[in-house]
Amino acid sequence: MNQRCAAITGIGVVAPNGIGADDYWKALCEGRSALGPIDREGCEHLPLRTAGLVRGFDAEQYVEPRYLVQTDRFTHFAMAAAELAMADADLADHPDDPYGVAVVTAAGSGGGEFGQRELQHLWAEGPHHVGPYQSIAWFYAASTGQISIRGGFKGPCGVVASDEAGGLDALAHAARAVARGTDAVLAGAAEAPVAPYSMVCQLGYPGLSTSEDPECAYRPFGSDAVGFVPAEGGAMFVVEDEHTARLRGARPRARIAGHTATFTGAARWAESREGLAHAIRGALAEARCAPDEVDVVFADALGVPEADRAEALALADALGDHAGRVPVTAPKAGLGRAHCGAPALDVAAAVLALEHGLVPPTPHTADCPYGLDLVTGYPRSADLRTALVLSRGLMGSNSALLLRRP
Amino acid sequence: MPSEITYEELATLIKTRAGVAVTVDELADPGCMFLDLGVDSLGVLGVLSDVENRYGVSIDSSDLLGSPVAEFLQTVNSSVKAGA
Repeated sequence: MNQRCAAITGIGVVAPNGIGADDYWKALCEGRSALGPIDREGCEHLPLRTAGLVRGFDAEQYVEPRYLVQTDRFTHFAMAAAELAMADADLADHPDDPYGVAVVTAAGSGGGEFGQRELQHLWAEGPHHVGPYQSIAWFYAASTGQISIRGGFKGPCGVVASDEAGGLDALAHAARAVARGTDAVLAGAAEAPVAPYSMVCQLGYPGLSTSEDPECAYRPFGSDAVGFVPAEGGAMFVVEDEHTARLRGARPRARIAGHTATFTGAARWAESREGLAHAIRGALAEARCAPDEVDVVFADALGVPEADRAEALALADALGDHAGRVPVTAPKAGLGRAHCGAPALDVAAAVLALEHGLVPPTPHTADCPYGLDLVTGYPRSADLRTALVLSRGLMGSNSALLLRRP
Repeated sequence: MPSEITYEELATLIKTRAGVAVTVDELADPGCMFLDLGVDSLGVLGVLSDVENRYGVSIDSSDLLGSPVAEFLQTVNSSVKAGA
C-alpha cells in the first residue's frame, strides 16, 4: 500500500490586499502594500494607528444570514476563505461520507468585535440584553464549528490555540489527519483583531509599531525596523491525500512535506533562535530535505530588530551557508500580521510561488543587515521545488512548515 | 402596545434574531418545529429574550425550546397577557 501523502488542493484567501487567491497573488507580485490608517469607529483615540484592513469584504456574499447573526467577523473571514478553497478544490459540502471530511482552524484573537458589542449591551442595558450567540461567537473554536456545521463535516475536527504559529500547526494537524485516513481537511486560520477591544488587548505588546506612517510602520529585516502592525484576514486550504485527490480529478498543488513546532517563551527573541532552528531542522528531517534543497523561505519577519536577528541566525544554524544564498521574503510586510492568519497567508503565497516559479517581494523594507538574500522591490524568477514557511508567536511558539511541489 | 404577538411579528423576530427567513404560512402550520425551519435552540432563546425585554415579562424557557411553534406562541402570548 502506498503511504498517504497530504497535499493542498484548494486555496481560499481573504487578505488586506485581495480576496481570492488570484487577486492576492497579483497584489503580492506587484509588491503593493495594503497598510493604511485604522479608521474604524471607536479606534480613533488608540495609540495604534496603522494596520492591514480587509476592505470591500461583503460577508453576505459568502455567509448565509443564519450564520451571520451568530458569528464574528473572524468567522465570516474563515467561512468565506473555506468556501473559496472548496470551490478551488471542487470539494462539495454534505459529502456522502460526512466522517471523511474534517475542519481544523487556528485562532488567537477570537471574536472581539462581537464580544465587545454584547458586553456593551450588558453594561448599558443589563444581562437580559446579551444575545445567546455571545456564548459561541467570541470563542476560538467558532470558525471550525460553523464551517463544519454548514458543510456537514463530521471528521476529526479541531482547533489549534498555539499562538500565531498555530496557523502552520493547523496545516500540520490536517496533514496528520489525512495520513491517518481522513479524506479531506479544511485547514487554516483567519482573524479580525482590528476592533477597539481587540486592539486594546494588543497595546501591551512591546513590539507593536505605533507609527502613523504606513510606509515606515512595518519594515521587517530593515535597519530601520520599528516593530510590526496587525492585520485582519487569513487563508483556508483543502488538504487531502495526493493519490485520492488525483483519482477524483483534483489537482495537488503542494505537498505538506514536513513540520515541527517548538516553544521558547514569550518575547524571548534571542532564545527563539534555537527554537526556530530546531523547528526548521525537524521540518527538513520529516521531509527528507537537505538544507541546500530549500528554494525559498517565507520568513516570520517580526520587524523587531532582536527578533529579526534571531530569525536570520536560526536560518544560518539550520541551513548553514545556504542561509545566505536562499531567497528570503516577507510579503506580510505589505499586509501586516493577521496573527494566526499571517502564516496561513504565507502558506498561500508559498504554494502560489511554487506554481509560478516566482518569489514575491518584501514591500517597504529597503535593506537587510542580517546577511540574508531578502527579495525586495520586484518578484524574482526561480525554479522553486520546495518552500520553507516560518512563524513565531508573541507568546513563544515557533513553527516551520516545508512545502514541496508535487 | 399590542398584547398579542402575531405570526407576522414572530417571523420578523426570527429573521432579526436567528437570521432565518420564514413565512407566516410555515409558522402557522400546526406541526411546525423551529429546528425544521433551521432555527436552533440559541435562536429560539434570542427570540424569547427579545419578547421578554419588550414586554417586561419573564418566561420559563425550559419547556419551550423544543416545543412546536404554535405551542411556543401560545405560551408566550399567555405570559405576555398575564404580565401586562
